[in-house]
Amino acid sequence: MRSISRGLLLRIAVGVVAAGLTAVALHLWLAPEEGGIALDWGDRTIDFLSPTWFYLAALVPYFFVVRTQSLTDVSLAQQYLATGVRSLLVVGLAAALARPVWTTTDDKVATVVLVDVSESITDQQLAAARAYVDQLDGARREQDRLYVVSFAERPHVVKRDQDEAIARHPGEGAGTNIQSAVQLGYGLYPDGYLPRMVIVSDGNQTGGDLLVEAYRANQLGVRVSWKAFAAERRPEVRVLSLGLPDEIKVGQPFEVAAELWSTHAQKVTLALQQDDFPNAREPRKTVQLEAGRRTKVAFASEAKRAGHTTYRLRVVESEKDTEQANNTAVMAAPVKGRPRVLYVEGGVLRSAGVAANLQRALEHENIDVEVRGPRGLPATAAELEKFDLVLVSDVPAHFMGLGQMAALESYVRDLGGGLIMAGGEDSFGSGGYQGTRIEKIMPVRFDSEKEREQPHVALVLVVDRSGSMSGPKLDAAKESARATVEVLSPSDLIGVIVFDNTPTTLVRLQRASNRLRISTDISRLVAGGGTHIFPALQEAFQTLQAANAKVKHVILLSDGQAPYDGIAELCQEMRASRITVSAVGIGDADRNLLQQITDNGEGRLYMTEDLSALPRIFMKETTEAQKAALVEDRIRAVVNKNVEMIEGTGVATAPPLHGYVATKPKPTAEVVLIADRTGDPILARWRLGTGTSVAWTSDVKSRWSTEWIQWAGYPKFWAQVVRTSMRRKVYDSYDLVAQVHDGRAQVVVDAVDVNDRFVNELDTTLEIVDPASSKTLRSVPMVQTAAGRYTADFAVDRYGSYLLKAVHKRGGRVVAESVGSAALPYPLEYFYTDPDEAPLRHAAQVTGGRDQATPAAIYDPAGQSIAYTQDLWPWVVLFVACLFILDTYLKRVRVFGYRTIEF
Amino acid sequence: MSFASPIAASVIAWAAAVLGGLAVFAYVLKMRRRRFEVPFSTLWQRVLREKEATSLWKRLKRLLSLLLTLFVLGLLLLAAAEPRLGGEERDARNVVVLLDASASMKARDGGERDGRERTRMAAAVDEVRAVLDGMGAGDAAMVMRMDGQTTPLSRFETDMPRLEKLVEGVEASDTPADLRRALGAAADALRGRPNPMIVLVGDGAYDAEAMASVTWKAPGPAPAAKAPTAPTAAGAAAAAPAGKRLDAIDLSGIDVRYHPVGSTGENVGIISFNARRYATDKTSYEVYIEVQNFGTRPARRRLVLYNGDLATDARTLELHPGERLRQIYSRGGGEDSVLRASLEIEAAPGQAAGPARRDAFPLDDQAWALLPARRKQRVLLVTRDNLYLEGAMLVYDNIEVDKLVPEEFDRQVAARTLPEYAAVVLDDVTPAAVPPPPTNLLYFNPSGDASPFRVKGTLSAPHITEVNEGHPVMRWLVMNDVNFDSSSIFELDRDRGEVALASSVRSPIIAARRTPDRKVVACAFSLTGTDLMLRVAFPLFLVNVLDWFASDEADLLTTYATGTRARVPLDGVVGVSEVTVTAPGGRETRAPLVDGQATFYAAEVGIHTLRARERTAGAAPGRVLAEVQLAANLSSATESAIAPARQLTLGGVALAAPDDAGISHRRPIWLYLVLAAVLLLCAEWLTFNRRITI
Repeated sequence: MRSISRGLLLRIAVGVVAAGLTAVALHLWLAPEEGGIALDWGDRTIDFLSPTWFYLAALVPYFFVVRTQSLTDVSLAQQYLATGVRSLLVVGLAAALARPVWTTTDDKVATVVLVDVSESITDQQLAAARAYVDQLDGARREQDRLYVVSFAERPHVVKRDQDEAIARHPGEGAGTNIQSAVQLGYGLYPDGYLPRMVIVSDGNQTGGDLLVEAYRANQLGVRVSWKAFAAERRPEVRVLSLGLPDEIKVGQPFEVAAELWSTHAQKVTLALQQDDFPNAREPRKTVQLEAGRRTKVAFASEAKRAGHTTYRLRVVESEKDTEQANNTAVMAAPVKGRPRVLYVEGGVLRSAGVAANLQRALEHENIDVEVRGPRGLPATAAELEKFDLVLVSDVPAHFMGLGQMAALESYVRDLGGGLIMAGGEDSFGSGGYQGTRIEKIMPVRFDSEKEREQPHVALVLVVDRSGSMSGPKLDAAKESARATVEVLSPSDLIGVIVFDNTPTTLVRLQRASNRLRISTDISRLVAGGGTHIFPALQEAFQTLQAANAKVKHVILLSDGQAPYDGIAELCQEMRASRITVSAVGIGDADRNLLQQITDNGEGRLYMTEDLSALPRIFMKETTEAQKAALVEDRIRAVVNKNVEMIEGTGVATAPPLHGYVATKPKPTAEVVLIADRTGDPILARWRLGTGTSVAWTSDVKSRWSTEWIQWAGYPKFWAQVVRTSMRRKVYDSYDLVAQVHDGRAQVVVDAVDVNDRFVNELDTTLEIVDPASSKTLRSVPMVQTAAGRYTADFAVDRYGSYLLKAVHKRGGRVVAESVGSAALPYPLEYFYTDPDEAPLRHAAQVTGGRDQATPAAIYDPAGQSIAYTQDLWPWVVLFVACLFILDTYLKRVRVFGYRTIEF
Repeated sequence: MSFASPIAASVIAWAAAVLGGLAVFAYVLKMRRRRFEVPFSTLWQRVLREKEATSLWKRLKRLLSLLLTLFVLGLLLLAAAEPRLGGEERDARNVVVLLDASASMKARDGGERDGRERTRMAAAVDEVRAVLDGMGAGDAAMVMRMDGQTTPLSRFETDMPRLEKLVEGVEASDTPADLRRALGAAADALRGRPNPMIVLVGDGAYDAEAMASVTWKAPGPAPAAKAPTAPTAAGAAAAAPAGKRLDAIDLSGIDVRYHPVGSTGENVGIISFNARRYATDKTSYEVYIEVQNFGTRPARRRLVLYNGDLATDARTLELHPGERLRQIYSRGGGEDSVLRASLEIEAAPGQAAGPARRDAFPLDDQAWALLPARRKQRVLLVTRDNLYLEGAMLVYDNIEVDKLVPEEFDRQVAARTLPEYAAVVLDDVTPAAVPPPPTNLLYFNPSGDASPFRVKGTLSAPHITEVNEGHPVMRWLVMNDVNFDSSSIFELDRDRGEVALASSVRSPIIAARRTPDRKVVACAFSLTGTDLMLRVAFPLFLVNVLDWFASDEADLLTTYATGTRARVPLDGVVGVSEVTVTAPGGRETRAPLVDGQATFYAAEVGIHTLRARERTAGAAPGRVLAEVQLAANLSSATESAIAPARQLTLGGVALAAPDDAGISHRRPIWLYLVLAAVLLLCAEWLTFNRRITI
C-alpha cells in the first residue's frame, strides 16, 4: 500500500509540475499580446477575445497522470490515444472559451429609417411616411434587418417588434434635429450588415447639421438616402425678422424694420408693441404681401426713456395662415439716454415757477432736467453721478453743507461731471461762498485779488441796552449779534456798540473770523440806563468811516423812545460816506424815529414783537448788506473768446442782461463772455480734474435775464453751454456682435481704439439681461482669444430676446462697455415651413445614397459586402462534440488489442 | 429561452441526432471480455462468481456511462446553440459607457507598462474594459466615444468581450469634450430601455455650463437618492420643475456613474494664441499669447515664438500656481507667415531638469497661428480719365491697376481677349457685357438695363442719412456731410443677396450684392457730381471695397479652436459643394461647401489646408480653385486644467461612486455549459480509468 501511495504521489507531483510548466508556457505565449492573441489561418487571422481561458489547457497533464492508474485492459497505445483525444477535447473547449473570431464578409443589409415627426410635417406626410416604412419592411430580404427611429427635437427608437407605431413626440415637436437621429442610428446596426439609412423628412433642421454628419456617416460607411413626401402647400405667413438701428437715442425717431414672408399674396395687419404698449407713432399697419417674396415693413417709433426698449411685432389679421407660432417677433435694443441735468434753484423758495424757463428751454433741446429746491442737492458724489451736469442757481451757501460742497468737487474733479453756477442775489460772493470749496472749484474768484485782502463788508451793530431791554430781549439781542457774526464771511469786519445814555464799544471793529472772542465779548452785554441813539450812531459812523471795506452798514436795535435831534442829518451824512443804516424795532420802539433813520440811511426797517425772529432778521439784514457785490445794470455780454461752447448760438446778438454778480477770473480760466462796460466775467469755464466747472455770473431767471428768456436763441445757447460742459462719455464702446446658432448665442467683441490699436488685457464680463425685467439673468466671463477680440457663448435657454452688455474693466475700473442684443423669438420649426431638400440631396451625394429612394433600391447590396468579425466558438464546440464521439468509441472499442492485467 | 448561435438550429438538431445515435451505438456494441491472466484455475471460480454477482451492477454501470456520455454531448450541443434565458433579462441593465476621448485624456499620467509611459486614455480604456468585464450576461452595453463629437462605437451588445475588443484601439483626439452632446446622445439611446445607466469614464474636464444644465426631473432610484453629498443650491434650482429650459439635458430616471481616471494636475499650457492684422495698417499685426499654470506648484517655462522655422523671440516665464500671463507682440510684415508658439520646460537656476519635471500634458505646449493671406489683386479701371479715382487707387498697396477706355473694354470683352482681373472698376459706364465671375465689379453711376441694381428713380442733391456700418465696405467711413448734385436710387432685392450700404432717407444710393461666385458694389452717383472724392472717406471706401473683394477682412481670423465648427469663406468658388481638408498629420477628409462657405472642424492641432477643386468627370482631381490654410489650437482652459475631478456634479447632484455590487457578474450560459462539460470530462476520465464507469 505504502509503495503504491509513493508511486501515485510521485506521479501526481510530476503531473502538477507538468501542469505548471504548461501554464508557464501558455503565459509566455499570451502575455506579450496585450488585449488578445491572433493566429494566422491561411490568409485569414483568428483573434481570441478572451485568451485567458487557454490556461484551462494546463489540465492536460491530469489526464496522463490518471491514465497511469488506469484499470482498463485496452492496449497502452489505445490508452495513450484516448488520453490524447480527451486532452484535445479539453484544449478544444478552452479554445472555444477563448472566444475565437475571424473576419468574414457578407451582403446582408441593415436599414435604419429615420422618420421626421416634427411639427413641420403634416399628418398626410406622416401617414405617407408610415406607409413607406411598411413598404421598406415588405421589401427586405429575409436576412436583412430594418430599424425605425422617429425624431423631432430628439430621436426615439421605435420598437416595431413590440408593435410600437411611429407617432409624434408630445412636447418635442417644435424642433428638428436630424443629426442626433443619425447619430442614434449608428448605434442600431448589428455587426455583419451593410449599414443603410433612409431619412424621411422635409429637410428643415432647427438644430444640428446634417451635412456635417453626412461626412461622418460616409467615414463610417453608412449610405444615407432620403425620401420626402410632397404635401399640399399650406398657406403660411411668418415674421422673418425684426430689426432695430444699432444706436437708439431718447427722443430721436427711428425705424423698426420688419420682414415678412407669405406663401400667398394677401393682406395682413401687423401690430407693433413697444414695452408692452402699442407703439405710439404707428401701432398698426396693414400691408400687402406678395406670394413667396420677402416684404419689408417699417414702423416709425421713438424711445422715451433711456435704458432699453423691447419691440414685439405680431400678425394680428391675415387672410390665410396655418401656423400661429411664427407670427411674432421680439427684439430688444439698448437706448442711449438724453443728457440729464440736475438744476438746483434757490429762487424756488421765493417763486415756485422761477425754474420753469430754463427747464423748458433745455427740455426743448432734448436734455432731461430735474429741478430741485436749494436743499435738494445730493450729499454724495455717487448720487450726483446719475447726472451729466449740475446747475446751481441762486442757492445761498448756508443751504449747502460742507459734505455737499465736497461731493460737488469730487463729482467734477473725479467723476468728470459738469458744474455750472449761475448768478443771482444768493450766488457767488453774495451767496456767502467766499473761501468755500465752491469758490475753489469755480473758474472765477468771488472777490478781486485786491478786495480779497480788504474786508468786503464792515458791519456795526448798535444795540440798545436800556433797562427795558433786560431779560429775554437782551438775550435775543445777544443771539442775533452772534448769528450775524456767523453769517459774515471771515474777512468781513464787525463791531458792536451798545448804548443806554452813552455808547460803549462792546466789540471793537474786527474781522468776523475772531468769532470766539466776539461771542465772548457779546456775552458781557448787560442791561441798564436810558435810551440815547444819536451818540451811539455817531460812534458807529466814526468807527466805520475809518474802516476799509467795500460795504459799510449799521444795524440799529432798539425797543424804546429816544430824542430825534440830529439823527436825520447824521444818517444823511453817513449815507454820503457810503454807510447805510437799517433799524430793527422791538415791541414799543419808536417806529417814526426808526423810519426816519432808515429812510435817511437808505436801510431797511424791521418791526417785530417776536423775539425769536430777531436773529433771522439780523442774518437777513447782514446778507442784504453783503449783496452789494451785485451789479444791477443793463449790460451786454460781449464775446471775449470764441469757443465751441457759444459757436453758432448767436450770442453776440443777444439782448442785454439786467445784472450780474461781480467776480474776477482766475488765471487759467477761459473767459468766454464779459460784461461790456466793466469787463467782469459773465461766462467763464475751466477744466477741473476730469470735469468742467462753469460760472455764469448773471442769472437764468426773469430778474436779470428777463430779455434773454424772450430771446429765440436762449434754449440753444443754454443747451450748448450744458452739452459742452457736461460729463463726457466716460466709457468707450466697442462693437458687439451676437449670433444665435444651434441653441447657443456666440458673442464677439472687437475692442479697437480710435488709433486702430487693439485694446488688450481687459477683464470683460458679459451680462445677459432680460429686457422685460431689466434683471441680469447671467454673467459670463468673456475670454480674450486674439488681439482686441473677446468672445463668449452661452446656451439660449428660452425663447425671446436678450440684451447683452459687455463690461470691460481694467484694474477693477470700468473702461468701456459694449451693448447688443440676441433673439430667438420662436422655435425655428415654425420658421422653416417649406421643404428644404438641398441638405438631404447633399447628404445622399456625399455618402453614395439615393434621392427619393425606393424600397427595393435600399436593400440592393449593389455589389457591396461588409467585413465583420464572426464568432467561431460555436463551431469549435460542435467540433469538440464530434471529437467526443471519437473519444467514446476509443473507450468502448478495442483497437490495438489487450493489455494484460496482472493480479 | 432563445438561441443566438450563428449555427442554424437545424444543423444542431441534426448533429444531436447523429452524434447521439453514434453514442448509443457505442454502448450497444458488446465489448469483448476483459482479459485476465490468472496464476491457476481455481481463481477462475472467483472470476465467474464475481461475474454472476456483478452482471446487474455492470449493466447499470453501462447505462450510467451512456447517460453520462449523452449528458456531456447534450451540454456541448446546447452550448453551441448559445441559449439565452428571457426571464433573467428583465433585471438586466442597459448601459451606455461614455468613454472620454477628449484632449485632456492625452495627459501622460496613465502609469507605465512594459517600461512605456501610458496616457490617461490607456488607463480609461482599461477602466472601460473592467466595467464591461464586470457586467452580467443579460446586461446590454453600448460604448460611445466622447470628444468634440459623440460617436457610438457599437450598438447595445450583451457580448462584453466583443465590446472590450472595440475599445482597445480608441485614442484621444485633440478636441475638448462636448459633454452636453454626449449626455444627450446617451439619453436618446437609453430612452424606453429598462434599467438605464450611463457610465462616464473620464477625467471630469468638462464645461461647467453643460454640467449645470442637466435636469433630474424624476430622480427615483437614480443617484440623486444615493448621492453622498447634498445637492448644491444651484443644483436644487436646476432640479426644480420650472419652465422647460431649451438647453436642459434630461437624465430623468437614468442611473449615472462616474469613473474618474488620471492622477496629476501639474500642467502649464498655451490657452490662447492668435495673430491679427490691424484694421487700417494691414502691413502690421499683433500676436496674442496667453499662458496659464494649472498646477499647484510654481512653474518656469521658456516661451519661444517662431516665424516659420526661425525663432523670433524667447522669454522666460515664471508662473505662480493658477497664474495666467498674457504676452502681446506687435509686428510688421508677416506675409503669409506661419507662427508657432512653443512652451519649453526650463529648469530653475541651480536645478537640473529631469524626467520627473516633464510636463504631463504636452498637447497645449505648442500652438500655431496664421495671418490671413493678403492677395495681390489685379484691377482694371474702365474710365475716360478720372485723376481722383486713379489717385485714390494708388493708396492701396496691394493691387496692380490697368486702365482701359470703355470702347476698348467692350471690344476686348466681346473678343474675349481681356485678361483675367480680380476686379473691374467701371466709372460712369455700364457695359452690356462684363467679364464672367469670379471677377468682382465696382460701378460708379450705373444706368440702363445693364445696371447691376435696378434703378427706380433719381434724387436731387441727396444727403446720406443712413450708413450700413455693419458692412465691411462702410467701416470707419463718415459720409454724412458729403454733397451730391444728384443720384439715382436703387431698388434692391434681398432675396438676391442685395443690401443697401448707404441711403438717403431710405433710398439706397450705394448697394452691394454678394453671390457665391462674385461680389458687386455700385454707387448710384457719378464721381463728377460729388465732393466725395475730396474727402478722406473716398480712398478708404475704395480700400474697403477692394478688401471686401479680396476677402481680406480685418475681422477674419484664420486660427480656430479644435472641436468647434467654423464657417470659412472661400470666395470665387462656384459649382463645388465640398472641399478637401488636409490635417497636419496628412490625413485627408472632406467637408461641405455651401454658399461659398466651407464648414471647418479641426480634430487635430496644427495647420490644416482647405482645398476646393474643380469638379471633374473622372477620378482625377480637378484644378484647385481655392486654397486656404487654417490653424487650429486646443485653446481650452477646461481641457488644459488636467487635474482630474474625483467627483462629478451634474445638475447639482453629485454622482454616485462606482458601485461594483450594482453590476452582476453573471456570464453567458454557454460558458457555464462548456465549463460543466470540462468538469464532467475530467471526472469521467477518472471514473472510467478506475472502472467506476465503463
